[in-house]
Amino acid sequence: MWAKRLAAQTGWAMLLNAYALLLAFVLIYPTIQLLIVAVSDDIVFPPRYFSLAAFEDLSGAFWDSVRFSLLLGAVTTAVLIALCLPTAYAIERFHFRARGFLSAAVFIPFVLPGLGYMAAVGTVYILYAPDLMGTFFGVFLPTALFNLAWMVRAIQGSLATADPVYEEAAMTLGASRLHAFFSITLPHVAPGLIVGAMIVFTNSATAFIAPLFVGRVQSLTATVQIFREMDQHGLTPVLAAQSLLVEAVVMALVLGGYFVSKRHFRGLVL
Amino acid sequence: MILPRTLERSRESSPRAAGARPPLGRGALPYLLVTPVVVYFALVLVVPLLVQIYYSFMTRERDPLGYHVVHRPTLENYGQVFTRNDLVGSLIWTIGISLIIAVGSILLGLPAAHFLSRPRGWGKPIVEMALLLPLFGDIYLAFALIYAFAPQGIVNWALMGLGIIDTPLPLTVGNTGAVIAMMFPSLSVLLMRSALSRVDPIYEEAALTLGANPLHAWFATTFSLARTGVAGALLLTFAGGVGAFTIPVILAGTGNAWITTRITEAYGFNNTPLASALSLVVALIATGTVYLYLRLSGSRSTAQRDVG
Repeated sequence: MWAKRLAAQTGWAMLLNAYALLLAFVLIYPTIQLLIVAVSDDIVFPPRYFSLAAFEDLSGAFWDSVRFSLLLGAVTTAVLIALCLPTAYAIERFHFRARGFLSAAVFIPFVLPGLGYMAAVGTVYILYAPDLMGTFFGVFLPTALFNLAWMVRAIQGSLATADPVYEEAAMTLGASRLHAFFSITLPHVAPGLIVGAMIVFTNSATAFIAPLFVGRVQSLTATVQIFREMDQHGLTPVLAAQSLLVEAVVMALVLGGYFVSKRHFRGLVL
Repeated sequence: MILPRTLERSRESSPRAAGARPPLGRGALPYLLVTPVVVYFALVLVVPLLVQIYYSFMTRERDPLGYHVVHRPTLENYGQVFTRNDLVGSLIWTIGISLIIAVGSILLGLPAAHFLSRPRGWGKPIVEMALLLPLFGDIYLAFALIYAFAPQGIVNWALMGLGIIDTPLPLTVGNTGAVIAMMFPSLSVLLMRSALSRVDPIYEEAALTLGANPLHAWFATTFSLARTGVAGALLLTFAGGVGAFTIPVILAGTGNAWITTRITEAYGFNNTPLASALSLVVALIATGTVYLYLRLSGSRSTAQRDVG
């Protein structure tokens, strides 16, 4: 009887294992799909003719949008680090009025449906700040807001696990708060900062709704550019090649940054 | 030898160690530190939302030059949201399909979440990596799926090859493809895994030892102890479905049935008052659901303590 039960349990476990692997394949498949279409002549499955023509047909508009995407990702990440580091530090290390409210309010943009919010931003731009329409800054403002909660949360998580006792010791021994922050706290927060930066860079470099609403035609991320081309020309291998390139560039930058900083901050939990 | 003792003492008196609140900030420093974010929030979040609320109560009138907004308060826009057949239909459809998506994504994700919450198993790193892949731009998931769902794509190829269908299914026409894509359970698996892995497997083992069959034992112990976490995943997936725009518009086109697309239509026709009212109704549904989730996850921590 025990042997039978053990066999049944093992059977269940194997079934679950197989299912999880199948699910993993389904989740990974889209990337494989992009690769298959990008290197074939048309979009038929199974692929019939191998061709790299799609990579030769990349338009100037596409490369412009890639540059815009990477710039948006880099600027959003840098500005959010500068904005969120003091905020997360204040929320985590001080007790002040409105602290609870502020730490909850940071999550509002995360919860708010992006499209309704962008309709509001679009209205404000049209009515009160028409100059922002179609500019980098105009796209950057709402994009950063969508990502603010990620960055604050990531830094706060690191701060919460770093014992404030070391900062206090440094200050007791005569360091200024600023000095203690840069020499003690910042290295402790680095892992959270890096994770936050990875998420924010990915999200903002592939932003879709904000540039779609307020980017006009001159300030578009690669994502919106691909979407527009798809709307005009339908499905082509070129679009798959473009999607694959953007995904690869973003992933390479993010993972590259991760490994470089992992080596740099060796010994810290990451 | 003064230093270690100082450290020791300050660790004891450290507010965190004592479980008390963080130290009282001296003077204006904390306020100074949060000022940039507060100013940014006020300008980029609060102002647009106030303008949106204001416009949702304004009248839209027609004159020989076309439509324009008159600054006269009215409830007409909200009236339209809840009486115009196409809008009510879209709202009900969105809520219904979001429920189906949430339940579907939970059912598809639960076995994988359970697998990941247990120590044994083959190929776990692959599964974890696959779940994190959509974080690198879930938009490319949508782009890729159009090719997969196309009449010449792999899904129809496989179904026809297996003899299940004779003619390709129109997965890229209408909302079917978008609904399937939104059921991809990557977020719900990650949320449910953390809920399931907090449950001690000892209860399930006890039930098995006492003779329950594996499925029954799992439902009666592990699942029922983690059910608030599962409900949380359900609510968050639902909230995401109600406010979804990107995946529907990419996979089902601009004619998709989601309420968010009605917002872009109203916005595109310069009907700012109606677009504002619709946006606020959708925001209310989504934030209400997330609030419910936060209440649940608050009570979950107490429930976990009771179990422990």
